[in-house]
Amino acid sequence: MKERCGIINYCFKLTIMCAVLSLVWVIALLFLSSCSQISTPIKIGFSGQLSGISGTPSTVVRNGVILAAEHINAAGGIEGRPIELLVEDDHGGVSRAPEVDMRHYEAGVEAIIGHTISAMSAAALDFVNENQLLMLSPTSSADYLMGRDDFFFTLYPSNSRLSQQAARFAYEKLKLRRIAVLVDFANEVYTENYYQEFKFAFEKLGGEMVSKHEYYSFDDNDFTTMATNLIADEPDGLLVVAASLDTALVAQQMYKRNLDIPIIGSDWAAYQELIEQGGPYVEHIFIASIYSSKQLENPYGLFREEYQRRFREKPSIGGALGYESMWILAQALELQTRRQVLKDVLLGNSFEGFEETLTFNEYGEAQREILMKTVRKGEFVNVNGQVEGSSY
Amino acid sequence: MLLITIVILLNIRIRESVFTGTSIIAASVSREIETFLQQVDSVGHWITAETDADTKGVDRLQSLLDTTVAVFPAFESLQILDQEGVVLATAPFNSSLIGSNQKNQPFFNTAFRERETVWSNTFISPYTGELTVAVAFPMYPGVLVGHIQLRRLDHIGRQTAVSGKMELIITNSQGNLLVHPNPDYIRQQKNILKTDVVQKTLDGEIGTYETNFEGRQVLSSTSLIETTNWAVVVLQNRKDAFALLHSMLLTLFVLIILSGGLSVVLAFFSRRRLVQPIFRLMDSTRKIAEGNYKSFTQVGKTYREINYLSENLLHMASQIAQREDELKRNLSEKDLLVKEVHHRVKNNLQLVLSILSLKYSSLDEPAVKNAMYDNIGRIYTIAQVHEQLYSSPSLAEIDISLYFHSLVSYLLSLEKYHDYQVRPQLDIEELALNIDQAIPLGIIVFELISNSMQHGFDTTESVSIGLMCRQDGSDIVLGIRDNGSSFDPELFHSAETVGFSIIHQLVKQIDGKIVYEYREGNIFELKFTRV
Repeated sequence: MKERCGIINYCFKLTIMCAVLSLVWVIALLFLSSCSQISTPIKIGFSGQLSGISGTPSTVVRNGVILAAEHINAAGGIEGRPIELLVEDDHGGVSRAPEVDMRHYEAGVEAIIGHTISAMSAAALDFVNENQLLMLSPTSSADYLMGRDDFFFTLYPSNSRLSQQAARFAYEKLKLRRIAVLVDFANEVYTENYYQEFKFAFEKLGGEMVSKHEYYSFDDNDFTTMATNLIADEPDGLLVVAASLDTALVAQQMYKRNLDIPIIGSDWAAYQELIEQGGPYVEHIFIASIYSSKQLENPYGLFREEYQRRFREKPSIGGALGYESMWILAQALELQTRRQVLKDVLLGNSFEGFEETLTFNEYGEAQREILMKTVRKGEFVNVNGQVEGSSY
Repeated sequence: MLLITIVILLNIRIRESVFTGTSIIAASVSREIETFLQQVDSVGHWITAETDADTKGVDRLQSLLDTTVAVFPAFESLQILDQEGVVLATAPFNSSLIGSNQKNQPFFNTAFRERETVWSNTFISPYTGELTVAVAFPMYPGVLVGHIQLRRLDHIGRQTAVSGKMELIITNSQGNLLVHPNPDYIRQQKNILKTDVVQKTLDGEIGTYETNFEGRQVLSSTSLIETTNWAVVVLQNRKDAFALLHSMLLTLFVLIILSGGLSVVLAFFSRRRLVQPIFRLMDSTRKIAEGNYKSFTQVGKTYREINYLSENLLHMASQIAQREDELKRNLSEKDLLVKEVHHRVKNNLQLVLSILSLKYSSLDEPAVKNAMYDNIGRIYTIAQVHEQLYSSPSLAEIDISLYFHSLVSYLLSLEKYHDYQVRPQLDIEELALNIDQAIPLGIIVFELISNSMQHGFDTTESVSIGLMCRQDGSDIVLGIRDNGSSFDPELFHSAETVGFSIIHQLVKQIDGKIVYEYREGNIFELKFTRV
């Protein structure tokens, strides 16, 4: 009897053990699955030109957005919900812009940060308004985008404000009277608008736009010929409304000709690429832009430190704008009540920026101070006051 | 325990093998790229050596660069800058670049001032839109700058046996992607510095380990390209990396479950077909051992071997039963025969007694008559044993109590003592004694009681005779006591009388010891060992 009991008991124990193990397994799975149920993330989209020859400045903007999202998530997210950033590359193509925003919309984003180029923002305008999807651009400034009560917001001052200040600076500080202009029509919405506003302000002050030269940056361009044409009418200054690389290449041509003509650049050129590719002549370039201080005690200075630590490169203004966009959007999402649309939150509140408290006007344009900048010792610096006593 | 040990050993061995495999791939990719970069470095140094040795002018420099770019296509372009950063020569020739100033390029300043080869951070070439790295070699009079398209890195990665389930990722020192399965990420200069694996690699912590990469559990093997401080990461989804291990563990798990289930089924069938029949067989053997050969339990449905064993046992039991019956029959026949012998001996002795009794009646002489009388008593004593033997269940032993009571009754019934008053006191245990000791003992009792009665009545008419018999260990103790007058003990020991002589001879025959003493009567005590 003892042996029989032994065999039966063994089988019985084995069966019980299997059952217990199965039970433990099921309980462990349930426990793990319950542990994995974390807060639903808030999806934010980013759209910008990340590839191609002109893609580098937008990658800096994207990096700024990423850094801000990382900081917000590290601080506990937005009301405990982490930010999930969805990045799309519009390749600088106007037809691609609404497509990538559609992908964001289908993914269920709360808002889109982008586009980084005015032409792309303009191309996406109809889509975001039709779908009432808030779009906050860090860098778009074309007037075409302003003056509309819609779902498009921008952190950057409008072209009219920027170009008017640049025109005033050129006329009053640099004493320019005859300016030749080079315009990249690949981003016509922005560049032509900038030129027209500059021209209006400059001519109003008494200056003269002696020639206008248009090109498309995606073509195979000969900057030697372009430079020759630009100086053909003997201007005392140049206005280059183009991206940083092209502005740098124009500066190189001026350097080669050993000229001493100041260049008014657009804020589209205010990137590190301009300094690295432009050679010594970048110190002859002046740009109406934003942000004044790089001091460490200033939030912008702190941001630069953080960005450099995170991406091991200098951020430039694009990175700061990207960071600020995400930071302001997060503040708005924090403030948003259940019945409020995000647009109303942005319009009805003020937000902490790097250097100033920011508000948006009824058309979604951030109200912020504009400063003139140039390059000294490989860095963008505020020129207000510095040009006093210079040859300009 | 054995299975668990096998699982643990398998786990260790397969993990080691997978780790080694991926680390070899990462190291070989790293080595290939290092080799490529060293080739670039060699070519660059060769150009700088050529230009140092011969400075015949810009045409010579231009020709040298054109030849190099044609022969060594790794270079997308080559530029010679003077000490101010001004482009003196460029290949392929680009008139707009000649005379431009590159002094703000970080690599120019470092190479020119430090007089050492400098690899730039990677960047998207403003001329080709492709991912590019610049290398600057110090030379006379300024710096040689080469631009290298990094599409070649992907080609190297694919060449270096990165299988379909593995991903090769290379980042620059900033964490920007240089090689990735998704080419869009490279074009977009996606930065993955934040990932644990890249950060560790760029910090010099290389090795193979499991980690989380962009939400996936992966096995990563890392290596660092020291020339440019690029991170090489070979990733494999943990699931894919340990697919073999997992399938083996699953197989083992299924085997354990199946063997468990099989054990239960086997236990069930064993109980019905093995365990229960064996216990029935055990029950049957127990009955056989107890002498019960008839009520044999059927083993039921079982295996052939157990059936065979059961049948043999049954056959053995029936054989034993048959032989036992034969033996009993033979024994019974023998008993009957022995009883018949005893009966006939008793009848014959009875015949002798009848004859002697007839003769006794015809005798006149008292002495002769007494002798005859004693002999009749002795023969009766022997006959009585045979009578008891054939009427008792045992043919070898008689009940001594019954025998002595019968013997004393006989003695008291004798004619010559009819006028006397005899008070027998018998204290006899129920003891079985074999014929070899019973007959001598009966005769001794007869002789001693006869003697007591014969001589006791000489002095008194009321004789008291006590007879005691009991077992003392392995011995039998017989005691006879009377209230007669004493006699000379020498008479008893010298055995001069027939009666005493018979007593001594018979005591000797049963290997006993008899003592006589007088203590308010004659007392005889006989002690012998029971056979």
